[in-house]
Order: sequence, then structure tokens, then C-alpha cells
Amino acid sequence: MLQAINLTKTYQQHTALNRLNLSVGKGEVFCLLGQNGAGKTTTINLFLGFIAATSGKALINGIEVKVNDPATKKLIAYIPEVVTLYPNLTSLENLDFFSRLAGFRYNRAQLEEFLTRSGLQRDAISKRLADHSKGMRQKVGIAIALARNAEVIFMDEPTSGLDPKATDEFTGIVKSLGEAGKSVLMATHDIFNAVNVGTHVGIMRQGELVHTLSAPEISANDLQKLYLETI
Amino acid sequence: MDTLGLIIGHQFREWKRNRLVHGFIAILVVLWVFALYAGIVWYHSTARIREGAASQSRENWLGQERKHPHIAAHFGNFAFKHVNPLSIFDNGTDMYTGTYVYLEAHRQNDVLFSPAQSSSSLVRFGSFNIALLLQVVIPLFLFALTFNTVLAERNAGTLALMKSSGIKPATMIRGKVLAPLLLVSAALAVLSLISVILLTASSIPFGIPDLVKLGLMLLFHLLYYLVLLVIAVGVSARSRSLKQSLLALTGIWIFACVVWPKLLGNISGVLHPLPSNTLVKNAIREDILNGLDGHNTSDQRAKMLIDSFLKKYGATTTSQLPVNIEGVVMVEGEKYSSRVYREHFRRVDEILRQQQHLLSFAGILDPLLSVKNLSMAICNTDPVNDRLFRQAAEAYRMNFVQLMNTDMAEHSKENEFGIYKVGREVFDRVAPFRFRPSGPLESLSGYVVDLFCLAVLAVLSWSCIYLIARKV
Amino acid sequence: MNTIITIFHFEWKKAWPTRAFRLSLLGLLAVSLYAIFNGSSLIRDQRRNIDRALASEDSVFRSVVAQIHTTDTASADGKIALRRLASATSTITSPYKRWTSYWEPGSFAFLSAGNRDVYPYYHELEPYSFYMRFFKNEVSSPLRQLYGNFDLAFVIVLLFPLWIIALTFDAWSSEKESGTLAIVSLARSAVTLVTGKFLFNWVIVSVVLNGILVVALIVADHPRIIDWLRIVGSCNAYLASWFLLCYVVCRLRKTSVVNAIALTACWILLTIALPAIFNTVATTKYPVTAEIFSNYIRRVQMPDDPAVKAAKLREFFRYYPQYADTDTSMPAIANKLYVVYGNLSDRSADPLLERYIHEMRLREAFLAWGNFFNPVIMCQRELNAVVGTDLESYIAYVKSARAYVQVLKESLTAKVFADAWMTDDELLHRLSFVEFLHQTRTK
Repeated sequence: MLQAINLTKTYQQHTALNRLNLSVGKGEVFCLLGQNGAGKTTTINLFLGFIAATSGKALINGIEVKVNDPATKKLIAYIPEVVTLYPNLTSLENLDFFSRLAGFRYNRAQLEEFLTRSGLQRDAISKRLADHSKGMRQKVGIAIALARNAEVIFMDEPTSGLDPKATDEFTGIVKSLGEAGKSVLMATHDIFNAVNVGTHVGIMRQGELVHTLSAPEISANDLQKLYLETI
Repeated sequence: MDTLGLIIGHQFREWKRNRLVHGFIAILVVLWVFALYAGIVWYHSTARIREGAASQSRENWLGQERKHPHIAAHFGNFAFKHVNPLSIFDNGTDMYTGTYVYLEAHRQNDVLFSPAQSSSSLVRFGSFNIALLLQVVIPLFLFALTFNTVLAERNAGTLALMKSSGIKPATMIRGKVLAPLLLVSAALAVLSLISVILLTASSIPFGIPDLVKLGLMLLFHLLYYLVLLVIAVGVSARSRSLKQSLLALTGIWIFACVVWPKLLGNISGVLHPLPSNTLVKNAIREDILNGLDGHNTSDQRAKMLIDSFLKKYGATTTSQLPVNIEGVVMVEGEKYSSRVYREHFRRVDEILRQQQHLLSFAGILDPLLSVKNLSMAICNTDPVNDRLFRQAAEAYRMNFVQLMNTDMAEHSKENEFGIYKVGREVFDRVAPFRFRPSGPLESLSGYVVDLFCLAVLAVLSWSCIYLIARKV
Repeated sequence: MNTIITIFHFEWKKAWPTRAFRLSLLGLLAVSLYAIFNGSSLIRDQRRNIDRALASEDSVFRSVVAQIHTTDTASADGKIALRRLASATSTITSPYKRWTSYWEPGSFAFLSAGNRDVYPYYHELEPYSFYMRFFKNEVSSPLRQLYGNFDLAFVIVLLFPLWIIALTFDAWSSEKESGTLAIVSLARSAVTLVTGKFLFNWVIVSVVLNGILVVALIVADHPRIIDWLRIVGSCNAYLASWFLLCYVVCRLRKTSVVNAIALTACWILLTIALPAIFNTVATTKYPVTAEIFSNYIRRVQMPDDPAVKAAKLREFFRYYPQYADTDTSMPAIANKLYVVYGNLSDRSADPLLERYIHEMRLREAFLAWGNFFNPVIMCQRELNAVVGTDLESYIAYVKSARAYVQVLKESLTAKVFADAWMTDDELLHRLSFVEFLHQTRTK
């Protein structure tokens, strides 16, 4: 579903990503760990087609990602770190707008269904986002991803700033996405969350993927130890 | 197009709930109505005063006692500037050009009493009319609407969501530019319609040509807004913070609306200095006395004229001529002095044109200059309209003075200044002064450079959308 | 005190390396110097034009005297020519023999040109009729007048406040937004820090402003120190009011963006919107009807009706009983009648001038009342008043010119009624406008 082959990105003298090779299959949740500047966001931006690769390939469903090429865009969804969305619109209106942009027209019931599936309480559906907490906005972001019917979902630090309860709820939703057969690539600093939600965990350092681990085979403590040794 | 429509529609939905936008529109409506109301009141009072003065002058002309026609030509007439309904929208340079002129034999007087001369220097802070709203206030509103348009999307994460949805950045930027343009177009269309209804209801003669001119005026302003919006969206896309975007756009607005026009206006005056009134009038006097070539004095010209008449009629003395030679000398002298005045005023007008050209060409750097020139041109409140008024007044002066001189030449005898008299039967032959402003196309004919600059900037701005999109 | 010194020290270290600070400082210095140059050239041009008018007047009278001496008085034509050149009647009624009055620019007029480029500032007057020739226009560019004068008053009144806003709008909010406020407040109160920053910026702005005003003092021609001190006082007080406004906005503790929007809005409101709105109301509410002069601008013509002539003479003799025993039969009175008409015409137009001035004053009073809270208008009016480019100075000039013509008229009228001719000395050493003003002041 999601494949990087010798994916490299350099900025003049600086190598942001160096010969990255990874693959995320259907139903897999791949968590990328690493310090700031390790190359996690660059990896996601390359898959999203926001920036062009210096060399190597990023493939989604076997299609090579190119900048501003709509071919791969319809297969993916993205939840950025900051999901403020439009504060003057309600959750429903935000979802409606982004769904229409993606070419989907849903009726109200369907839109509400996406929002409840993403964990949003019913009374928050018709409220403006200005009144939502970050966790609630994050859920609207997930609903937008769900409504796109995307097979691949990218998440950049989705739990940053969430309280433990919201993080826990979020973890459950991401797991259910995996169970629904979606491929998820998530950049995070949260080791505990990575072990909890991911099927695979990758540790990056200075643009390179140093370790790739199967999440169920490692405990959070061991992962933390390995992480600290690696960086 | 669907995506573009969606983005524009979304922007409108956002504004629908934005109190700031409601506030802007409310302020715009209030200020527009205020400017319109003040304009209508001003129009009626000025038109009443000028029409009253013009009919008084006409009565004086017709009611003067019987006198020698040349003395009647010295009594003279007045030409009052027509109060133009479109000046309610843009009064251009009308504050700084004269309002009436005394027309008499032998001389072309200054057009007197510009409205600015009746005020203190506070008048230089400008008057609040619709042009000020269109050229200064609305751009500020547009900047306020757009200074965070891309930045907010970036900060809210929606920019990334849009991009990940396959929306082309250029489409998004086009939407960001077109949405406020449509908003302001709709507002202006409604306000203009209301204005036309109110003007008509207030018995202000507002005909089809005025309607066309108003439409063109709005069109020029929409092109101006397009340029400003691309700049604003571009700044919003390139800025790292709201503070930076806001400061940059405020700086651009102040420079473009306040500093640059004033600076250029002053530089144009320094580069193309005007002669003083004394110099011009002395030179005119000199040329009338000694001839434009300096070797043909008025006495010589009169002598040649008399000789040619004596030869033509085979007479030995002027008393044998079938016409009063004094009248003929007056007619020809008037023609000559008018030619001299025309030549000197042409030189002054040429300097004014050079000053205006500098401002027109500078429009390529500041679209406000172009739109200001075009707006006052289409509203007939520009220096060209003033020049046309002066020319019309001079044509009228020549006509009535020559009518009187010709009457003198044809019906009186030499040395009958104190005897020959005419009355209303002759004064009636002088029609009242009429001046009507030019039509839309004619009004713009002197502003090709401004039209070109504005069009080039609009096309260039539209093309720049792709450049902005590349950086998003 | 140490805290203030520390704040000053570090504010300077923060400000000076930034490109925006240095560019704005240099930019403001450059436009200020240009404004001084531009204002000076405007006034220099006006002085040159006044000198030309005076030279033209002098040259006409010299030429008249020269022609008097070269005219052949033996011939009949020569006698007529001599009468035209030297008789008092022809002197008072000649369209070419004109006396120059002018609105003398003050030493600091270049700082704030006001409406000097709009008002006619010099006149070539005919003693016969003041109103027939007083109203005129200097050759001018309406576009240039529309855009206004780029003088130092513009820079100080409009641009300096923008600089103050740019320097201070985030004095508090930037500390808050960068998180330094919390750290600072552990050692000193936030108010001390913000006040210190304001004081620092006030010192910077004051140094620049007063430095520029010193340049203006050097450039000024025969300046009066008291005027300069008034200008310095007004400008410093004006800018202090902007600092106060910025300080109040900063103390509201909003974000930098809100502060920037609020202060820019204040600037636009005070410098553009409110003055323009009050101007519009003033123009509409207080019309000034210049059209009333049209009957007096018209050439004065004498009616044929003997009864009218007799009535006019009676009216004239009421004002000037010393001429009451003049022979009023024709043709002896013919030329004198023109002088009588000119005199009475001016007298009957005088109330119109008073009305015109009254209407202008009403409008000005309304503007002063409407803008009483606006420091921008207050500063502009004060500067114009100090440098002598305000409405009252112009009105004083107009009244002086009118009085000057009356004095000329009356002295020439005495000669006309005495059937006297002008001597060389009278033609060459005429009462100049400056001498007239001096005499008036002495009286």
C-alpha cells in the first residue's frame, strides 16, 4: 500500500532524509519515532506530495507520488499536528466542506455518521469549532479522513497537546482504522502511544530509519531504552 | 471551476458568521450613505448658487443700458462652471480649479475662486466623498479581510488538508482573490443602484451617459482591487506571522495611498516647473504689443489692416470706407490677442500635461495613481475638464466680443464712440453660456497610459497567482 | 534609574541591528530632509515670483518716466501721450500701472506651507478698483494641489506617528508572546519594563524630531527663536500625545496584531477619516459664496444718466467733503467721475468681502470645534499659525491689500481732484506695500 524506496531529500548541504526504505501494508499502523529534525515530517510530506524527492521513490498503491499530482491524492488522507480547521463553522460544516473539496457529497445523516464514528459526541456536531477542545477538533480531522474514504492515512504528531483521556480515545480510533484495513503512517514523539497503537514502530535519526520493530514484540520500556540509545 | 466555486462559497459562508465582516459592510454602507447624502446636499446648494449667479449675470447683460457695442463687450459676461452630478462620486481636482470666469474684451481672465481658496489649509486633508471610500477605505477593508487569508489556513492546518485533498494551490489562491472581489463587487453594485435611485429621486439630472460613466468608474476600481487582492494574498502566503503580514500590508497601503502620490505630485512640479502669472501675463502683453514674432507691433498690424482696406475699396481715407475701420481693427485685434493668449496657455497646458504624464506612468508602480486619474477623468472632474471649460469660455468670449465688434464695424462710423449705441436687440443675439462635459470615451482619450498601466497590472497580478501558489 | 539605563541599553542593542529599525530611521530622516528642501523650494519660488512682480511694477513706472522725458510735447499727439503717461487720472485708471501687494512668507513658512500654494499670494493692484483686479489665480497645477505639499508638517503630523506606532505597538505584547514577560516579571514589574521601553522610544523619536527641527532652524531665513521654540514645543507635545495613545493601547494587554490594527485604525481615523468627514460637513453646512463678487469683478462702467451721476457724486462728497466744491459740470468732471465710481464701487463691495471672510471664519470655527479632540488637526493648525500660513494670516493680508489700495486711491484721488500731474519722484518712489504695512504698524 505504502512504500518508500531509497527515498532521499536534500536541501543544499543538508540531508533531511537519506535512502529511506519502508513499507506499510493494508491494516498496518506504522509509527515513526525520532527527535525533532530526524526526518519524520519530511517523510510524510514526501508521501503527501507537498515536496519533491531528491532521489528515490514514494509509492502509494504502487503509484509514484509526484508534487501536485492528483493521481495519489484521492487515495490518501492527512491529519496535521494542528487541526484548528475553520472556527466559525460547525463540525458538520467543516466536514461537508472538505468532503466536497475531495469530490464527495454526503447527506447530513452520513456526515453525522462519520463524526460519531470518529468519536465526536452528538451534541458537538452542530457546534462551532471555536468552542471545541483540541481533542474534539482532532476527531473532526479524523472524520474528514474517514469521509474521504482513503486507504492510506498520514498523521503528523496527532496526539501532541491532547490530555490522557483524549489520547486514549484517539488511540482507539486509530486502532479501529487499522482494523478497518486502512494503512496508517504516523509521526509521533509519544513512545507509549506508538507501542499501544502501532503494528510497527520505526526509529529515525538524522534522516535515516535506524530501527524497524514489530510493535507487539516490544514493550514500552524496551522501546524507550532503545530509543534513547539510538538518538 | 467547481472547486473554485466551492472555495469562494466557503469563504462567503465564513464571512457570513464573521462579525468583523459584518462590521466592515455596515461601516461601508453608513459611510457611503453619508458621502452620498453630503454630496447631494452640496450639489443642490452649489448648483443653486451657480445657476442663480449665471442667470443674474445674464440679466445684467441683457438689462444693461443702451451703449456702444464695444463698451458692452467690455461690460462682459460670466461663465460659471456647470455642477456635474458625477462630482458627487469623485470631485477630483474640482476643489483646486476655478468656478467662474469674467469674460471681457481684449483679455482672457483667470478662472476664479477654486473652492479650496475659500477654506483654510485643513481642506488639504481632503473631503469625504465616494472616491475616497473607493480608493482608500475599501482597499483597507480588503487588506483587513485578506491579510491572514492564507496564513490562517496554514495555522489551522486546513491548508495541508486542502493540499492533501488534491486541491491545486493556484485554485485556492484564485478563490482567495476572487471571493473578496465578488463581495466588494456585489456591495458596490447594490450601493451604486441605491445611489442612482436616490440621485434621481433628488431631482439630480443623472442620464444614461452618467450611468455608463459610473459603470466604467466601478470597473476601473474593480481592476484596482484585483491588483491589491493579489498583493494581499501574496503577502499573506509569504508571511511567517500575522503580525508580519499585517505590518507589510499596512506599510504598502500607507505608502501607496499617502506617501507615494504626494511625493510624485511634488516631484512632477519640481521636474516641470510652471511659470508665474506675472511672467505669463507680461509675455502675453509683450506679444500682443510687439507681435508673436517680435517684429510686428500692434500699430503696424493696424496700419497694414487699414492700408489693405483702403486698397480693397479704392479709398484714400478711412471715412470713405463702407465699414467703420475702428471696428475692423477691433475684430482683427481681438483675433490676434486671442491667438497670443492661446499660444501662451498652450505652453502652460503642455507643462501641466507633462506633470500629469509623470503621474500616469508612475501608475505602473502604484495602481492608485492610475485609478485616481481614470476615475476623475470619467467623472469629468479632472484638469482636462477644467481645460475644456476654459476653452469653451474663451470660445464664448470670442463669439460675443466679435459680435459686438462686428456690429460696431458694420453699423457705426468712425469716432462715434459716444454716439452709436445698441440695446437689447443686439445683446439678445448673444446666447447664454453653455458647457457640457465630454462623453465617456472622449473623457478617457487623454488617459491611455493610465488605462494601459491598470490593465497591465491586472493581467500581471492574475499571472502572479501561479507564482504565489508555488510558494504555498 | 539603573533599571531604566539597563532597559535603554538593551533596547538599543535590540533595535539597532534590526534592518527595519535602521531603514525606518534613515527613511524618515531622508523624507524629512526632502520635505525641508521641497518646502523651501516652494517658498523660494513664491519669493522669486513676488520679486518678479515687484520688478515688473518698477520697470513699468521707470518706463513711464523715461517716456515722459522723451515725448515730443510740441505735437498734439505728444500732448495726448503725455497726459496718458503723467496725469493723475490716467495713473489711477491705467490697466498697466499697477502696484504690487504680496503675502510675505514667514521665516518658517517652508515647514508648513498650508494653503500658500492655493491662495493667490501676490497681486498687481489697480488703485481705481480693488475688486476688479484683486481676484486672480497663480498659474498652478490642480493635480499637485490635490496631492498636497510634501512639507515637514506632513512628515511630522502624519509620518512620525506611524513611526511611533511601529516602534511601540508591541512593547508589551511582544514580551508576552515571546514568553519573556514572565521571566522579567520575576525581577521587575512588567509596567516598569513597558514604561522603560516607551521612554527609550520617546528619547529616540525626540532626538530625531528635534535634530530635524534644528536643521530647519539653520535653513530658515532670519528666524525668530521664539517662533522656533513654539514649533518645537508644538511638535514635541503632539508626538507625546501619540506616545500616550500607544501606551494606553499597549496597557490594554491585547495581542500585537490587535494593537497594530487598533493603532493603525486610530491613525487613519485621526489623519484621514475624521478630518475628511468634518471637511465635508463644513463644506455642506457652511457654504462660502464667492459668486457674490461677480458684479464687482466686472469692469466698472459709468452710466449715462445725469441723475445717477449726480447721485453718485453726492454720495462721494459725503465721504470726501473736501472735494464738495469741485466743478461738477461736464466735461470738467468727466475723468473725476471714473475715480468716483471706482471708489464707490469698492466701498459697496467691502461688506461682501466682510461677508466672504465671515463665511470662511464660520467654516474654520466649525472645523476647529469639530476637531477639538484631534491632535492631528490641532498640531497642523498650530504649526500654520506659528509660521503664518493659516487662514487668519491670509485674511490679514487680504485686508491689508484692501487698505493699501484705499490709501493709494485716496492719495491719487487728491491729485485727480487738484487736476495735478504725477511728478517723476511720485512715479519712481511710490508707496510700496511694505512701507504701507510699516506705516500702519507704526500708527
